Amino acid sequence: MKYSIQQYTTALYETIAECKPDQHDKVIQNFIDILKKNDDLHYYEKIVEAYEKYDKEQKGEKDVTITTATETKVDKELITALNQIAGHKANIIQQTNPDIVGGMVIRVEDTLIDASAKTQLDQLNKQMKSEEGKK
Amino acid sequence: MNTNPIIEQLKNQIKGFAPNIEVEKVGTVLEVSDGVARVSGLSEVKSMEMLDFGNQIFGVALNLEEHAVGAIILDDYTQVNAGDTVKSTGRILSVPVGEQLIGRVVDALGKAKDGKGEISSQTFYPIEKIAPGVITRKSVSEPVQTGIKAIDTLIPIGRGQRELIIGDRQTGKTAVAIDAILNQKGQDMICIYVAIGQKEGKIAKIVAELEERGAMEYTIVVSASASEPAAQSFIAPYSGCAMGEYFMDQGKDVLVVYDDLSKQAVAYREISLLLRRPPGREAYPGDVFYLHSRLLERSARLNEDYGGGSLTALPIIETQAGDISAYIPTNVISITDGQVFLESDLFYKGIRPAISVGSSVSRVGGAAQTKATKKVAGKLKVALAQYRELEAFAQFGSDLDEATQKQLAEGRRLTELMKQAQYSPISMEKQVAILYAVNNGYLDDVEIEQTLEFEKQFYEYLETSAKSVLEKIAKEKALSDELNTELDQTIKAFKQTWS
Repeated sequence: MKYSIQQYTTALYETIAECKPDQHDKVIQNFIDILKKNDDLHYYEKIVEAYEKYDKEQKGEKDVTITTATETKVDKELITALNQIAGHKANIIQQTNPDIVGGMVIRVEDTLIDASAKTQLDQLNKQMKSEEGKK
Repeated sequence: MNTNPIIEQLKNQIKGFAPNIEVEKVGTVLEVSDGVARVSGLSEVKSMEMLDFGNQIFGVALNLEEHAVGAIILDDYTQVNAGDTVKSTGRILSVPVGEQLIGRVVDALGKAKDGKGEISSQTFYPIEKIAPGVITRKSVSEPVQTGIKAIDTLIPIGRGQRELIIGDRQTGKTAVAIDAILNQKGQDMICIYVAIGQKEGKIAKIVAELEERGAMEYTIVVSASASEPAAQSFIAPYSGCAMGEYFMDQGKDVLVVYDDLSKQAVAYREISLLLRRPPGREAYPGDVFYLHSRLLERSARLNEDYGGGSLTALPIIETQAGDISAYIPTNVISITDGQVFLESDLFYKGIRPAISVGSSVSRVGGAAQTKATKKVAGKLKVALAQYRELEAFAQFGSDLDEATQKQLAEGRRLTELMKQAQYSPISMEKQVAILYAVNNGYLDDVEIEQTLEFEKQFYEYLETSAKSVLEKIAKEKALSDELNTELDQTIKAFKQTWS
């Protein structure tokens, strides 16, 4: 029978959570043996990736990506606010993208808070065009 | 100075601008393959919701799965990359509707395709809508005059009916539908021609023809050509129907031609297979019946309480080698209220339109026929049916008794009379007049080969010398005894001039 990456990940995660820390090496060794036996070793990297994601999900950690136009330091206030939104612990990743002109774009999982200058300029452009249309 | 007010105005506009901070639900493209994408995230997306892939590329969420969303991409999918951010728009896929669309050629999303400028309609209709319910409907009571003698007399179509046009390739299916559109001039009908998976050249030719004959004044052309993604072919009929529903809701009468639904089924099969839905018979997905039934159910005749509008559908299906028992043809035959069956044999025999009178039916249209047409068509139906039975004996020629020979001649004459050139619709009054003539034996002494010439000259005579008779038939829509005598006199007078 073929197992999916998600099934492998969940099984591994639950096994590790159930047993003591000194047994972890053995569990992982066994896991790799199973992968080998099932001829699924090529999944290894994807499983690691999925494992990290699953781990975060279980712990309630959320990735928060903050994109700014230039490199700036994120305010402490913003971080506390984000921690509140994210519920538990916000794992902040900072990015720079000159395309957004100014302001910032914050993405928490699949929610996107767009406060960039680019979007606002687009809105202004749209509004002025529609007013032109009315005349 | 002239510039100052403009600058002031701009300043005011900029001052009055309150920027919004947008909070959106987004997802990430996992994989893209021919026209479909799998997207992760998008936690609150609805089925049939529009997705924004950026760069003016839109898609529609079709499969909502546990870990991902399967979406079709409506524009060029090669510009979508794995890892791109996808925004959900919160809008169910909808198209602009309204008067502005009349006379235009648009794509499946209602965007202008004819280079005559943007369409600035503020009203949008969702492309998928539940069909009008029982309480809102009324049975078919008014005719759609197609201007084709064989259809208007033998297989009449009513407003709100769904009449399938079916036949092999090159048998004149589109020609029948286009003739029906041309004849709607001045009949208070809005026409929508939906071209699905057709050649751009053919669509251009049709649009040019409609324009030349003044039919674009009341027609919308929705075009999803063969070169566009399958997703466009899949949604085009629904878009066309939504545009028609707007006018139906305004209490108007609408005629929608879906040319053709077999190509839509093929496009839907492609999408379904790419989205990994299980294939069924002929590899079509299990819900291919529902694909057509939910579209055609939206044709309706609303009762007066709901505005009294109607939406008539003329779906077209292409068969392979005359096989009407294939999967898609049988499905659509069972959904519609009858079919006009075109045969290639008849087409090559020179009987055009190549309507096979025996296999064509109209299940509800008879109720909508005008009294005058009904009266003259009754005899015609019987005579043609008898002719079909006797046709096998026709080869024995002179060995037959006189009565049979007479019946055969009558059948041949009527078959000849049912012929009609393309782009030459004939009004109801003229149809009634010529059929009255043939039913009452006025054509018995005319050579069968001369029938069409007789018909042509007869119409000319009616137009020039007996206009009052035509007007009376058009007005009364029934044949009174008085009108009968008048017709008799007119025909006799015409025959004096006919040599």
